[in-house]
Amino acid sequence: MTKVILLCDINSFFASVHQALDPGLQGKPVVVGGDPAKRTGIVLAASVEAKKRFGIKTGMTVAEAKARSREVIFVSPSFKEYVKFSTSINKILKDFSDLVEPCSIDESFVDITGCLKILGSPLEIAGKIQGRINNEIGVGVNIGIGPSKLVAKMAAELEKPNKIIPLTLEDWPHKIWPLPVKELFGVGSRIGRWLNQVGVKTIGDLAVLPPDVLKKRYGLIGEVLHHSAQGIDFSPVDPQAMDVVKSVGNQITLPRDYLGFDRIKVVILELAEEVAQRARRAGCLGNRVSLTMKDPNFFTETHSRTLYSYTDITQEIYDEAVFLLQKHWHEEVRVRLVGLTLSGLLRKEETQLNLLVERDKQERIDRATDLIRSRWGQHSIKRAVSLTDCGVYHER
Amino acid sequence: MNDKLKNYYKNNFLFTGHRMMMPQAGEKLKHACGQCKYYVNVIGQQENRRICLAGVKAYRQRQKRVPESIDIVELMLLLGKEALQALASQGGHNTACGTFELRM
Repeated sequence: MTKVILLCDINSFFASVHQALDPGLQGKPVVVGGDPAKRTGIVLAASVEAKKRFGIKTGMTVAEAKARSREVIFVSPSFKEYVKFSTSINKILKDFSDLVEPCSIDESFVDITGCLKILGSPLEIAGKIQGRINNEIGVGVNIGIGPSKLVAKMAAELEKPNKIIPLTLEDWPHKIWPLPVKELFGVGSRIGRWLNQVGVKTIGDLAVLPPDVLKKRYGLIGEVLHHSAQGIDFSPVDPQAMDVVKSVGNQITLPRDYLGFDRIKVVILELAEEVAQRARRAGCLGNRVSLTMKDPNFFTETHSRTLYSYTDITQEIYDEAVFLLQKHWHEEVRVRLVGLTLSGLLRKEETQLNLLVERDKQERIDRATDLIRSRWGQHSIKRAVSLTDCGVYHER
Repeated sequence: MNDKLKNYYKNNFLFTGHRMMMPQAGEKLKHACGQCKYYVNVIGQQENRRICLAGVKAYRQRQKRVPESIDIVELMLLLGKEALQALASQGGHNTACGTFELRM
């Protein structure tokens, strides 16, 4: 039986949330952006009106967006509200099917194959979902309908905003093949560049490229690319997909450039604290620490190190990050951004116990701080070093 | 189709590789009310029932510690009967809401 899968993609999610919260912003060009004073001044989202009338795009600098028009209304991001809206939207989707897979904060797949006899045709179901999201949440939603996740995803991108777009495999060659190859889901900048170099400009070109060429270059991914270009995808809609955490990371653009390891170490300790806490909450241990640093000229370096054993202990993650800092970064180079990631995650109960390292004390300290934060708030306990002028903990 | 490719699709790698989630969003979308620290056991005279206390200002603003269980009389003194009745109808969903906080 052919599957019927929907992809619900909220239009300009962050901007739509602000428009839903403040009716005065409805129909106006709204831009959600960082604060240039804190040097996080990029456009996170632009409302449909801002995109259409002024050509403002995500990723543009706030200064550039301001230069386009004085009519544009700038708002600061409110991540708590975004999460609230996202969970409310997923609740609505779960009223239609139990097979809901959140894909990102504003996108979710819904497998409605089993509900067609009860709820009606795919178009009717999509219409009901769109109606409920429009009326109850107050945001616009694009719904792509297809026989697989890939087709549904590509369909949702075809027309915007607030549209329902069915796409079948019969339509695939004349609707999808003329599109540029980088529009195909799964083709990133690196693969896209190579494809362009070998003369593959459109998805249609990729579809007729002999699979052996792709397989030779990219192995398994090459085979998947060949299938994707034909519209073939066997991925299931997996409601438990969120349980798989591959990595946890945090990064921060510093309020001013930092010079000297002593100052950067404070930020690294604060990041290690957050990363380790998130890993502990997810019940995971990781064995690979990556440190990302960016200098004022936007030159970025990322270095990783695999640990001898798996950990979720703040001090151990911090020690590894400091090792990477001292090995790969020059002390006289200023730092604009610091990022820390813990990857190679495993469930805590699946990892091998370590006989050589005594961790009991550190584990108890981390557990105690987690409990205090859980009861009294994230900022209820902090390292003394966070109170110095290098600390950025209070900014978040 | 070979086994490697089958496993690739079966394990959803095409999409999990591209998923990026805000930390708080991932946690909230993954859990249900049952794992939330605000969803506490309220001990009544005839029955015990779990009620969502996320709507109670004192708990949301951390002026009071969220207990694991609470006596109905204490809650009634804090909220009044009508507010308590309204509160009793909330929670128990299979998806957490925006106020979700994982119980430690």
